[in-house]
Amino acid sequence: MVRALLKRLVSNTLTVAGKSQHHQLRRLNIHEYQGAELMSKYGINVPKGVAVSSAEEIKKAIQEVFPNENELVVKSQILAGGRGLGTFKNGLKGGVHIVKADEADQIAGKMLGQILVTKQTGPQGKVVSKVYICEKLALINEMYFAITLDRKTAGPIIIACSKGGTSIEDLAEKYPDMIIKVPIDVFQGITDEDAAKVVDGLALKAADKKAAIDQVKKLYELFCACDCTLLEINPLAETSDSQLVAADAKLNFDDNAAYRQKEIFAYRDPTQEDPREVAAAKADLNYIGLDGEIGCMVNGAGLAMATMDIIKLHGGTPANFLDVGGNASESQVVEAFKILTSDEKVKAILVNIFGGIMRCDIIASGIVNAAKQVSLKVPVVVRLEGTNVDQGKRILKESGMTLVTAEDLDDAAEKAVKAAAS
Amino acid sequence: MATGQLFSRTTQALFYNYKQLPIQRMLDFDFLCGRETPSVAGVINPGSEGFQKLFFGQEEIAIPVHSTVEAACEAHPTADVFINFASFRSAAASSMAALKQPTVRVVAIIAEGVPESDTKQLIAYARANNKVVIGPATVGGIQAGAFKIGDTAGTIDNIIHCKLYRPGSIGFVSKSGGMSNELYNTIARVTDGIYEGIAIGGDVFPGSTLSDHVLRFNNIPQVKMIAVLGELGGRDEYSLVEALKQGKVTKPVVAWVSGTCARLFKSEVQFGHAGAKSGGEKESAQAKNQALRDAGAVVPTSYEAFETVIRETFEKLVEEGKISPVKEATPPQIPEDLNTAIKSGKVRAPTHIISTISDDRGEEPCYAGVPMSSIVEQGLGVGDVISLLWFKRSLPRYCAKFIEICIMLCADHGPCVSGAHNSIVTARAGKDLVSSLVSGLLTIGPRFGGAIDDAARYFKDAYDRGLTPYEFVEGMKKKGVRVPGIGHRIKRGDNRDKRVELLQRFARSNFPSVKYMEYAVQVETYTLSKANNLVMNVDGAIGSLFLDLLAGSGMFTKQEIDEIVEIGYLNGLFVLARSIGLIGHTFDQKRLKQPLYRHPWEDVLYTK
Repeated sequence: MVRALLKRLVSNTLTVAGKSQHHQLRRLNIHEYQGAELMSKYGINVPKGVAVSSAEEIKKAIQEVFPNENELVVKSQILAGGRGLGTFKNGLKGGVHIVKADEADQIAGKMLGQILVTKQTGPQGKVVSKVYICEKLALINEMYFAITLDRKTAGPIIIACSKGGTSIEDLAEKYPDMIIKVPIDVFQGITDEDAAKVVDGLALKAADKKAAIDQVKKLYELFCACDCTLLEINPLAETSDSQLVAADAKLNFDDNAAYRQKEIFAYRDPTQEDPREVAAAKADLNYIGLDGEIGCMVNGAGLAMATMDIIKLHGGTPANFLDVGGNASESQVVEAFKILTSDEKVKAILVNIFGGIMRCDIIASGIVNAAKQVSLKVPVVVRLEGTNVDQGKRILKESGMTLVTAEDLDDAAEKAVKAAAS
Repeated sequence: MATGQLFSRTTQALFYNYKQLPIQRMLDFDFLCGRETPSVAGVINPGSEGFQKLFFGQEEIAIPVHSTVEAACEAHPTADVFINFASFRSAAASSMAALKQPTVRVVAIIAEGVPESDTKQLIAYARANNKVVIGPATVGGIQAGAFKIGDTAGTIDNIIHCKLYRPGSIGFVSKSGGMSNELYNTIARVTDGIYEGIAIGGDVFPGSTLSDHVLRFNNIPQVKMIAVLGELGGRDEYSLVEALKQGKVTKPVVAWVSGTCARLFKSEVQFGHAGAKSGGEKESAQAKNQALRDAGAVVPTSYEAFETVIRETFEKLVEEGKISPVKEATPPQIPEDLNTAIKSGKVRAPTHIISTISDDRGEEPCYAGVPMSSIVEQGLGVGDVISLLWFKRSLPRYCAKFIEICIMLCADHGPCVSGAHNSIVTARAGKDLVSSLVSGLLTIGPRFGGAIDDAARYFKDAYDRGLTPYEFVEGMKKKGVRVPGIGHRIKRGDNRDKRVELLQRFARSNFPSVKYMEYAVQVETYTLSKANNLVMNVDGAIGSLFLDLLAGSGMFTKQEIDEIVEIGYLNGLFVLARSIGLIGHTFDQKRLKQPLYRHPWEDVLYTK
């Protein structure tokens, strides 16, 4: 998730430039059933499946979609990994179950509306509002397939491996010779030769080669048309009836393309997101919740990072990452204070601002007014640097607020850690 | 990718998507550095052409505006830097257009959020054609004392503070634009300053990388040491590690990778497969810092210690005699903008207009201090608005009502009077509403509609001097002046003007005193004894009654009354009222589609 992190971290550059086109950079995650729906729209073979949101719908859905199946896979839909090994708060073990067709409604009923806790959700878990019921495939061969953007060749690259099912890191370690990479010319697009090269690398056992080439081209088409940054099929499988099927898929989308991918970004499921992050997004702030005790309000992601690095160095832990940007209005600063103070874990707030384009005196009066509007129960440490810093410091001093001022970043971090501990 | 210096003191740029502030900041920087030519040669603003006025020091200059990239490049063949301030939606297309121009060498893309597949195309094209892309999602870069992109380094105060108006010996490259500001400050504090600083931008796939610029700095003789500020994520820093290991960088490199805290981010657990294909740990700040250290860069233990190692590395270079002392110069004072100077109380400037009756600056317009909402809520009328705007005070309701009656009575007087006739002729000549209206208004004067003021003046003078009607009328006769307000073309003593009667009836029952009117009636009685058509006309009635309004309401001092009569307020009433009629006549003619009016020959006496 370094990509998403990076994007959030660097989103300051634009606001520093004093521009008004700030738009929220939030990572889009889509559910498994939505991914399958999208792929089948592009003609890619996926396991037959149906998503339902209530136990009542299940019987009908099974009769319609799987009249002749004996066994079905019931998968809880949350936006986090580790579902198979997760536990429901109601005691049910496992978010994915393989059951007899006539038991599917029973197990799905135990999943719907319940909270599933996995390694990735944190202890609070995530609510399951849909289950995805799929056919159970008989796989005779599992392979790996991915398309991503490559730095070196400055364009998309297809990565394929004749083994699959485990992570690409494991594959790279165990079968380095079986991995092939086919760069695609960004201007020309995928050619038949490119696709054939990929299919050769997959070393199919049963499936028809021509059909496979067609599938590869369709996957590439989906990657481009939907502004994907990653399309990973693992495993790409061959079934006992010689079909090539995308048995499991991970799709990442370029947030920057949200403006031209309205349909895909409508898949967003806010019930799966951190409510603090949703509130921050509304105020056009960049916020990432963490588990520490020092709330950070910073302008610029680079500075946020340096700030948190230093808090950690002084033995504290940041409670969040809150970037107000280079052009924050007073109302945004107030909103930021509200988010920070609403978090009970926050024991101290550290404000670290470098006034490049913005002037420190304006920032200071913003802070003072915001602090007046929001009742502050925890100490606030402020470090200002940059244009008109002296005026800014004077405003803070004369405000009569109990703000702790700091000389430099180091001093600020030390004071904040101390304040949080007391 | 170019291998040496990108900019010089004569570099000129084309600026896409006009933004006044960043361009002015570039020009102010130019002036600070003593450049002879402005660094912005032209502006491209899709769909518009002409000039934009900006300041170059004390002087105002006009920078040409072009509607297309191609036209701008043709007009300014020496401008080789393209600064793109387009939105993230259109930045890719305009950047590609610029890259395709043979004259453009460097493209800086400010917008954040350019789709990655689009950026990939820009990078591929730039690589194939040996051009440089800085950004996207960047503030830009600066060559101290020579050239600056857009908003780089912030305000002029900050630039002066960081001594960016003259070259130092440090080459600096970072991802973050905000942090580059912080580092310019730091570097100015502990070394002889920046030679060149670049922010490559925060996108996953930047147009040019940290190592691209480090290698370039290595080829610039004036750069003596290189400072690099990286961030976790991506593998950029490793190409720098490679370059260091291969001995491609011969100058001392001081580096720090931010984000050692990143392990705290819960999102890390969602690490995607392909993003992790090269090993997530390798992209961590800790790993990159270690790799850079192992490759020979000077890497501190924390960000705060970055300043110390920059200072120590620089001081070592000084000891070794590798740094020639910088020629310090005092930058010229940038003339302050008038608005800023006034705001900060530094200068005062005389105003050129004074106004006392209305103010549109607040949340709602005010007439003589009374806000519009209060006028509407109280249910006030046009008479009250006239009171506020003409007399600058709220008059009692009966006064406002009287004014309204005057306006109603004078609104029109048929198509044959000179004003209406003129408006009709003008409208029929196909002229617009305003022309038709004013052609009618222009006839108002001493003979048409202008008698109210004169009536008021003469009645007031005579009454105030205590003249009897006899003395007044005979005195006027001697001077050869007709008594204004007396006399009518049609009306007679036994057939009074209905309008006069209405006014007098209203005044008698509402005004506290009607002494001027009574005087006018006495004058009329005397003149009627001389001739039956010398009745009081509407001008005489309004003129005399207005005197009663002014004197009887107790709202005006004597001087004010004199001034009102002197200036000719009362004619204003007629002009306002009759405009209603003249507009009506104009609409009437247009509605009737009347052709051009031509006066018949038969109706003209042709004579010698």
